[in-house]
Amino acid sequence: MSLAGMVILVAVCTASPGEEVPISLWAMDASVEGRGDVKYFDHDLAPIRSTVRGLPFDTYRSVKVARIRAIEGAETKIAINRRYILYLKPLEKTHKDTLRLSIRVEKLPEKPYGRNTKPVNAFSTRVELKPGQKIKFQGLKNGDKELIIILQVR
Amino acid sequence: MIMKQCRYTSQIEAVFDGEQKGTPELERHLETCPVCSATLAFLKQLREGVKHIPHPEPVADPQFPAFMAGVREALDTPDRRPRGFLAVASLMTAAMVVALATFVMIKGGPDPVRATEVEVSTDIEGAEVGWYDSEDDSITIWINMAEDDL
Repeated sequence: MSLAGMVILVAVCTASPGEEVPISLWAMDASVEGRGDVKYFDHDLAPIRSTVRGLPFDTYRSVKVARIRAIEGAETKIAINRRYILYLKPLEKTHKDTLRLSIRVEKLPEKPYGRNTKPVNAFSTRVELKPGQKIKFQGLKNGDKELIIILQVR
Repeated sequence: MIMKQCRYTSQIEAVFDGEQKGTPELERHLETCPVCSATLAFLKQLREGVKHIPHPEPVADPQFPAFMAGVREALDTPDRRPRGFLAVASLMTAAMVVALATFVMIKGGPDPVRATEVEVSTDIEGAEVGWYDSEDDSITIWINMAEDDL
């Protein structure tokens, strides 16, 4: 084996995987159940009460709450419910100490599947987030409710 | 310096300046009068001091043409202020600096740096997407889907 080949082999073997990026996820169904001014939140949605303030719903029920360890440069797939899948891909840390993220929310086709039915991107987003900053996706229909997804980079 | 006066003092000064000749009587007086001998000593010291004061060189007649030639040369030397291309370039640079300063003052400085840069799109037909910064520093991405989408 040539010296150059050995160098390349060593470089490949010692290349560290992408950095882990801890991300918090809250996915919830939002609806109006006639509660008036007293809003209801499932207990595990307490950290995001202020983030949904002002939305026209009075009931928030958790669909998925998780702590994800996404890998920089790799796409992480998270099934939210039977209709939506979330894809996260941390891209890079910027000189401003923000994290560039590629986020997709894929909507699955309704059964029965037709010949040309396939998943489509409900959202396809590239965003820069500061540590601790939240991003909220709203407007995703989920039956008579609305699916709201909130992410926070730790 | 205040000196006492003697009636011979004026004669001593006149003899010292060469206005009149000295007399034996005046010589004898000088030997006995401390005021007049002090006056004479003072005048001699003063004249000796004046000799050492530097005097400006007078412009003598033979030097005058050369002096005037120097003056004319100074007057005829071309102005060293920038002319032509250099002057225009300087003027344009100054104008650009003034314009830039005015622009910055009117504009009120650079736009505040946004903490977030967002690109968002959707593949759902007929849906609209957008985003905004919320008051709590979070980012909201919204979609407006058609009613019959599901």
